[in-house]
Amino acid sequence: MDHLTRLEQESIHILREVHARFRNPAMLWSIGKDSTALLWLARKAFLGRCPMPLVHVDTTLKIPEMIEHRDKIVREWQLELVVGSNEEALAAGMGPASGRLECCGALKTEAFRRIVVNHGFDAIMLGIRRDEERSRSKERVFSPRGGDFSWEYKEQPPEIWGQYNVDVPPGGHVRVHPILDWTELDVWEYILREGIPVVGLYFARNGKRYRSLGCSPCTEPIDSSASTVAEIVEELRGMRVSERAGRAQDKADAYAMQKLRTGGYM
Amino acid sequence: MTAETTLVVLGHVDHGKSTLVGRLLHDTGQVAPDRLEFARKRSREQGRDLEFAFLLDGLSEEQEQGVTIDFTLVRFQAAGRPFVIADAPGHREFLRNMMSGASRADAALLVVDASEGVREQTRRHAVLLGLLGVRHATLVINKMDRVDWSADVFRRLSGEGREVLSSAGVTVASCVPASALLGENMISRSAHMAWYDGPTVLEAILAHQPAVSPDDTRFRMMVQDVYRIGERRLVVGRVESGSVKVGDTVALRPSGERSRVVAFEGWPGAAPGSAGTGENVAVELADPLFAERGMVVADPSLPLAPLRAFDARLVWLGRNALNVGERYLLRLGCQETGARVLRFSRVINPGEVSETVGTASLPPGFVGEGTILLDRPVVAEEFAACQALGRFVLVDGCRVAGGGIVCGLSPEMADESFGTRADLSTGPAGIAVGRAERRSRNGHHSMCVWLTGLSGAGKSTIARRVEARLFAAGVQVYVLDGDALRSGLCRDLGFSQMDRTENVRRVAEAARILVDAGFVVITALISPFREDRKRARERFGEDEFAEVFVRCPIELCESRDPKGLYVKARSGALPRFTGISDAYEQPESPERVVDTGVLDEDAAAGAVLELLAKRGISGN
Repeated sequence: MDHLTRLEQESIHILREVHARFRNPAMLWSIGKDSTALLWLARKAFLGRCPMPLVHVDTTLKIPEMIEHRDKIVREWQLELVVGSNEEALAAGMGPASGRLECCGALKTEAFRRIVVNHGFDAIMLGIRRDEERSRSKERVFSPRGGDFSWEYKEQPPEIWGQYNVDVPPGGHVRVHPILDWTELDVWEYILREGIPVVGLYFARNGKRYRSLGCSPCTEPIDSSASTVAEIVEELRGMRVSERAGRAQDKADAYAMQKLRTGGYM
Repeated sequence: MTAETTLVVLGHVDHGKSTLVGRLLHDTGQVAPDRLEFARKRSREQGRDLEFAFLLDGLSEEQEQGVTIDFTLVRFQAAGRPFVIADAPGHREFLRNMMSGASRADAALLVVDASEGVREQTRRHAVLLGLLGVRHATLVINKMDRVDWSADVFRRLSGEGREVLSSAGVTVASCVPASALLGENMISRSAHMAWYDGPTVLEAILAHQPAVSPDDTRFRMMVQDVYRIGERRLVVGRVESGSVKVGDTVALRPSGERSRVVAFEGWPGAAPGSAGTGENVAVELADPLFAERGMVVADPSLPLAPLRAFDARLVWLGRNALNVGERYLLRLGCQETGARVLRFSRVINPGEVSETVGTASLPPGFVGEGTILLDRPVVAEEFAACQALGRFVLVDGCRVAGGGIVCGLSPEMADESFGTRADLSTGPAGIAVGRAERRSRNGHHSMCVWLTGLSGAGKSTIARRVEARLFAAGVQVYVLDGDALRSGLCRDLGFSQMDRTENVRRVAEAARILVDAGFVVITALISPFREDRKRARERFGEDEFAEVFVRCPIELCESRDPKGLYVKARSGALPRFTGISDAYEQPESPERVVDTGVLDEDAAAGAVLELLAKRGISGN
């Protein structure tokens, strides 16, 4: 079994475990490459359909092309999509100018929390990876979260032999990370191998392309001439700078992501 | 591409595990410049040179306190080969994290501080490697700079380290003297230790290969789920050993039924006609068998009898000690059951040299050997025969709190009669007094009427009224009342989900004995979970069981509150109270719904009597 197939099979096993064990699971879809690869893996696991709703946290600050791509895929793949925003914060004028961490906390974490609570989701799958960022590197595949949405990173239960923590804590939910062990390069190689459609923003235009996608005010494109998936794979093989270097919220503070994630951020 | 090798780095607190991994990544040029710059900056803020550990320890507490709290995995390339390195914490209180990182390793690097020698966590980690099934290790005697690069110290400590590892069943592939901090003997040979002619740390790593599964190659697959696509039922699971192809005959355990593989289903495009170890498949079988999650599909030649008990070796990672006799949830593959330790033959503190302690409980971080009793039979094998079917975890509350391996199958306790509905009193043909004989003498059918509903809905009242009417009419009748049983048969049980499940199981078994003895049994207990009631139903024949949902709005139950329980539950004095702080799952298709919000006691009892009359049991 080759490297990508091994990763793929592990992820499929995790996805099927979620479907078998949880009453009301959902999958977070940011329209980025990772959660789109995850969505593809779900279609493989469930033989062509995706039996759980996708959740998109709409900060209203996403790059418009992402929303177009989202709606096209939802139509073509016949997906159930739940979209939610923190309306009050938006009405009150929340934006990166109010502080990047505050903005992420209100428009992403809090909006996300409301969707989970309102829909009663007991498991949420996310396409985060260890190699993206320091606090994500310490995650579990199945990460129980309490009712207050917090991540108790100092008290994570053991996860041995692929026997996962599938029990929902009272009032809480379980975060599931089926592609935690994948790297950025793995994801692109998989997209190449499977022919997974990704949003055009990843491909170079006028010498720039997005390597990591988020909200438009906080995401910077990188210099690149890679205009196909194969060229992106080639480019990453020689890349020395880490992936989220273009994401502003990571730099707001040395432990910005840890702080955000402790409060329930993705 | 060559297969990946996963190595876990273990050892006592502060013996230099993260520094070693950070140094390896750094010296082989595998750290992104912005990450390196971040680590430099954080190191400078603490008035230090570059802390190599900061390349791994990403949490703020880890960097501020200089400890590794949780494990992480990093990719590492060497000599064109892919590796994954798990950097594990050394503190005893983070043992659960160490185990999480080490459980997937092919081999280990055990790091020992030359100035401190073999310490408590060195021993503990070595013993646990054995339990995890990690069979190969490299011993790194680190911080050689602190002992003046002494060959004598190295020889003494490598001897001690070898002893610790080999007595845990781990083969020591190499011993390397090094200084991770200074980069000596890591990638290139150290000029300080000319007396040493063995491999560097990097060379020692390269000598490790992916572990070869010791399992035999017969086909085994655990049923993870069953998908229905149109008319087809697809059995879904992962191939744990061997391979399977279209046309193969397979056995379904524990039932033992056999079938043939008709096809595999895949997406996108058709699935190939065969599957090997590690592949997740969706299989169509020739016969519509009763397959469900938790069963095992296997080569028919494998003798996989369901077990009621097995001997195990386990490590406890809970917050409090595991107590003998206490019930936990045991998960083995996709199988799940309540379980308890019957007895420990040995409890050891793996951090100390041959220290044995009392066997009544297993403290966190200790290893116990003993017999585990299972509430429901499980298909398992010895760990040495099949890893996937030979290891399990124990869950305490909502958390995985321990893990172990199956060492012996206790054949005297093997149970072939899984899920039987057979007459309990059947003996040799002709001389038995059976259910039929008893029913015939009583002149009526025997069965169980299962009343379920909220506290205060009127279950006990209805049960007693029905009992009185039937008794007066000469029927052999008996009420099993939940509250009464909790003071005797079930007095060891609380109100956790698992204990409620066990409570229902026991009442169902007691009811079954009485039905066998010719009685009409009426059970009156909340029995809040659908799955538990379904299992109770499965213990009876179709004409021997009727579920009655005693329906009453919770507001009304609360206003009646005959035992004052709702008041207590609202005040928080009674946690896990059904309807207030715990779920009640309404029956989906009960034989009868009795609405006590509308009907008075007489009418409610009348509705149950009417149901019984239809089964030929008359209260007149």
